[in-house]
Amino acid sequence: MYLSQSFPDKIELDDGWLLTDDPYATVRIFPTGFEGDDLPKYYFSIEAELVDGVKDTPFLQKYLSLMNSSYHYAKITLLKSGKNLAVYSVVTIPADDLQQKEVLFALFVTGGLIENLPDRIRHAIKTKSLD
Amino acid sequence: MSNLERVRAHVSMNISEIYPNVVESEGLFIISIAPAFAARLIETGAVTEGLPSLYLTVISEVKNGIPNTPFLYEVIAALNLTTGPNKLIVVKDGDVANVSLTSTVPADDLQKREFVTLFAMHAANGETIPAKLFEALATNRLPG
Repeated sequence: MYLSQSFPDKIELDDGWLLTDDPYATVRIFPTGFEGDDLPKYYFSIEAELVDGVKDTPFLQKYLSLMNSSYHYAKITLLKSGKNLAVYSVVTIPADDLQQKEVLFALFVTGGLIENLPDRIRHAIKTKSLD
Repeated sequence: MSNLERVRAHVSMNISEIYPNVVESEGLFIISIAPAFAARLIETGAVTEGLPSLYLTVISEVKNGIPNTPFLYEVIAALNLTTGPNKLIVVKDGDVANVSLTSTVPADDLQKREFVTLFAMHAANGETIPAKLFEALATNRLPG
């Protein structure tokens, strides 16, 4: 319901939804594995592809690690993409009593990363610069 | 009272209920010094009305003085795929690296149960995630 307002054409997947094909962005809901009363049972996660076809190098790992120190709410991760890797942003929040504003904020953060990070990541990989 | 002051007072009250010995210093809510365990408010950068202007980040020391090798960064990247809203971060310190675990949530109108959930989740992950890191470093194998 919350996603339908922003993405009326979303496509249902096994464990979530495909929001857009370009950039590739999905939402998943998955169990946390926690059992305690104070702990959430489900996570809500928005994953968005930032850059595809990158080579797995020590520089890339170090660069992403540095980015993760800066982007508090979001995580920048690597996923396999054919022979190479793709850089993804992931925003994950407890989902048991999710509110619309929480979903909107997660989408807002993801949108900002899609807009700002791909060129920066490509530039860093090209120049091997950690700036 | 500014929004930051209002949120800070609210966060302070709620953290004090969970950790009565918390000390506030230079913007940090210090829960423990050794091992380092603290929380802090950070601006989100969002200016749109209705979106949160502040994050609350909980950060705890996992291990200091780990040899700063490419393998360490590979392990951290692999583990971060499995840590949900928690994130392992590395800070280089000369020839070694310090690894911490962070959990971040929007903070403008956190409810009491959300504070409890945040710290409970951080504590639960603070047991399992470091164990996987230490095992990977000891065996020189990436976590499965």
